[in-house]
Amino acid sequence: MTLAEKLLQVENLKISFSTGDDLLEVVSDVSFDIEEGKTLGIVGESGSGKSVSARSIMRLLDKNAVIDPNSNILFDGQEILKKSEREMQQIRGKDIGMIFQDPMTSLNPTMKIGKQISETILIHQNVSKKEAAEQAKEIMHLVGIPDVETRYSQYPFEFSGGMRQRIIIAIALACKPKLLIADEPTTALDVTIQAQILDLLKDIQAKTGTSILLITHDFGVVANMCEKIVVMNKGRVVEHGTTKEIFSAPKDDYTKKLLAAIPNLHEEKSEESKVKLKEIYSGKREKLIEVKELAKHFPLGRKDILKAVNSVSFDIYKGETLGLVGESGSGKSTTGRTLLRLHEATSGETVYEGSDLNTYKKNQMKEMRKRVQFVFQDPYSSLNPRKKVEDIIGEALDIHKLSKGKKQRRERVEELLELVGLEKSFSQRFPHEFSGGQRQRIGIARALAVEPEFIVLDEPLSALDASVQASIVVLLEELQKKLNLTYLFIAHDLATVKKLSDRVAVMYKGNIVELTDSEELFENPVHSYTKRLLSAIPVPDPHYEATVEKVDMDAEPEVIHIGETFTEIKPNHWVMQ
Amino acid sequence: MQEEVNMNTGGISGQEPINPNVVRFKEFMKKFLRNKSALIGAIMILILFMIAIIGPMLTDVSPNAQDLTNRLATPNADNWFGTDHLGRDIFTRIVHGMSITLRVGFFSVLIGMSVGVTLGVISGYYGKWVDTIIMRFMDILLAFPGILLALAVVSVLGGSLNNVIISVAVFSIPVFARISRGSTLEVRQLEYIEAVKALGASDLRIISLHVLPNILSPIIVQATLNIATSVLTASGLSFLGMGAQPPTPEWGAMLSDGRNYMWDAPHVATIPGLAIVVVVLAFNIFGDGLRDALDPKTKN
Repeated sequence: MTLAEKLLQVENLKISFSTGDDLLEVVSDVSFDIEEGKTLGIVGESGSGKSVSARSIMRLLDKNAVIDPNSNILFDGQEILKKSEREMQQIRGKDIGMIFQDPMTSLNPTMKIGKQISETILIHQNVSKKEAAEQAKEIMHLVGIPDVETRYSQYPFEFSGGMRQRIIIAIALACKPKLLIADEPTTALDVTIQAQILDLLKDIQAKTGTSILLITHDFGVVANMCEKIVVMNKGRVVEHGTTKEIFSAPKDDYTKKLLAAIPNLHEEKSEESKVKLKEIYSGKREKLIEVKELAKHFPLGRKDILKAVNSVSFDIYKGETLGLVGESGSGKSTTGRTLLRLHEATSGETVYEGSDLNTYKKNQMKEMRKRVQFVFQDPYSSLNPRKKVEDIIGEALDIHKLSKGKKQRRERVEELLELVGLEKSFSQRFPHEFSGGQRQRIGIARALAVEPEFIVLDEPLSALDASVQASIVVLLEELQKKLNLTYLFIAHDLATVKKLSDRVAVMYKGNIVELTDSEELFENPVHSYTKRLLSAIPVPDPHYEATVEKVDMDAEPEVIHIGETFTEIKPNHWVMQ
Repeated sequence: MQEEVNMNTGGISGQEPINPNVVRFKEFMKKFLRNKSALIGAIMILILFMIAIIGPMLTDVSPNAQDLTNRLATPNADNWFGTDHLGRDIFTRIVHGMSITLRVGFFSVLIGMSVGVTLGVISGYYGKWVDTIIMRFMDILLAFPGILLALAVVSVLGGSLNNVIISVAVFSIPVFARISRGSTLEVRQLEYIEAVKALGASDLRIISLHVLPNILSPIIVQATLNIATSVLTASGLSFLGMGAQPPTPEWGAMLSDGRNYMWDAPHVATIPGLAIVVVVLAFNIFGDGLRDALDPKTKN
């Protein structure tokens, strides 16, 4: 292969950050290259140095970053690291475009969309304002923005998350760059929108022939986007090769671990779960909670109301895990919170062993809090940073006066820490000393302190890396068995839901549109939204994707018909029709 | 799974726990000590306090001892700051007045802060109609100029030092209410507050253990700055004859006495005036420095 075909060559890249007196090496000896018109994926968990490597190509690193003089970054035959800042400004945006992770913060909220795109064109190309506007509209069309003429003069707040990400891609494409760096372009988006954006990137590559450097933590995303993959861990490349090679025969242990952590959609449910389902369906298992037409509306201003949860009904059986899946804004979290009266219900009943929780007085509810608990999504904001772990977990014991004296309190906290797989000594530490996964374990220990029988798990995995997610799933399963817990597991990630749940309810715009056991749901989805959701899951298998026919993702979601009545279309399979 | 745990736990097992409260305090001290004017303010306040406490013990004459043969004397070796129209030693009176000034400043702020923060936190925590009622009432209080409000209160209660403290406290309530309401709104929506709620904690517990410690720093800054304003208002009231009554060595009242002799003996009015300026200045620059040091946005 000749040099000319390689658009980008990174050799022996070594980056350190100076922290006062020390130099902390974050990227060491990283080498990779991208051919023209091809896509390379860099996969790694948080802290693996993947984003730092990508930013160094644009020379967008913070001032305290030091790049080793022996590193080389050759772009289109030119040494990037020897360029002056002024020369770099010419390259950025013109030859290399970049797409950022968060579409909500990377657009200027006070500038019209069209202007943000044409601005980039005006900076780099010698064209008139009118021509720039024409080009901008053309690009908006290319990235699939409908009704370009009106959209051109709108502001970012008038765009949804997915639409904003399209605009960000449009800005990156404005000057027809040779290389597009996409740093976690879909992490902040819902699965169906993620599928749309990935399709769009592929489409653009086919039309414009640009090379793409795709950075992600999600193996599912790279499987069908990239020809080659680089796996990074702790600042080093641990493996690189073609996508097929890596998926079919991973060599490095870390790669193997990452691949093993991906929940497999085709995995059969355990015997235990099958027995559980049989008992539920035959009426042998008792109901723990019956939710009857529960609704939660929020006032929006003076007149409007937001129907976050619009009359949902379902039962939760003792010892089962009911999965609740939906995209952001579907009302799944609100359902979980209303169930435990963290929000007051607008109407409906939550019947817990015969009596409606919504009618409970304050002191009755306090007693109830010993039996029902909540695990939060964000392990960072859900722990008070100023308190020791002992006090965070011990607070539950204090509130319900469950321990006599300091010694007993500490012993109980230590016992709980060990139960969730942490060391006893951690009780004397503060939240910021722990990783995300450890913090989530602390959050779980706090919920377990009162010895509850029912726990609402509100997206407990979504803030964690894939390998950590897998370990938390195992922990949750173990705890369920050991302590005979019942879970309501809320998630947007269908694959994890399938692994953990016995039955699954799909939520869409405040309604439960489909409810059945997880196997049935994945094999025979009936509601059009469920189908859409299922086909949007990026499947981490390069062979699989090519054979599956996808639901057309460009259809606007408004087309989906929610339905009027919840009917049992076959035994134990309920659908909104 | 076990592997992940070990991998993640191994790193910190050996080290000492890092207490974020200690870290935060150290960082605060570092920033504060680097801020020259704040340090000067702190030292000034320290000296003022020492004068207030030890000063009266060191002066040999009573602040009210009259010497009519030695009226309106200019500063000299015996009377460092001169004497007033009744021949009282101004230096002694200033030293004795220090504790009055500081007392008025502190207690009025303490009362105003306690009431204001309580109302503000309740308002921010419960929201809805509680919030509307409390904050509209605060708006009404804020609509009056401070001194006018204090005057109104004193004229209802009658002129005395304690009433000055109360009236100055009243006018500082809305400021504290607003600040603590805003901070409470911010803290209230943090997830760990909800987590404690899910554990069954009472509102009182959540407010006192989780909300208050988090909103303390803006309140402390405001309190320091408010001491300066309170001292000024209290002196103003005494100057108008509504506060401390003669012969109390209150600076505002002394200034008021001195203005009759402005042309013959300007020092009688200027010296208490200067004393007020020094106290106000000390608290102002200290408060500004405190704000900079506590504000996470002004890192380094």
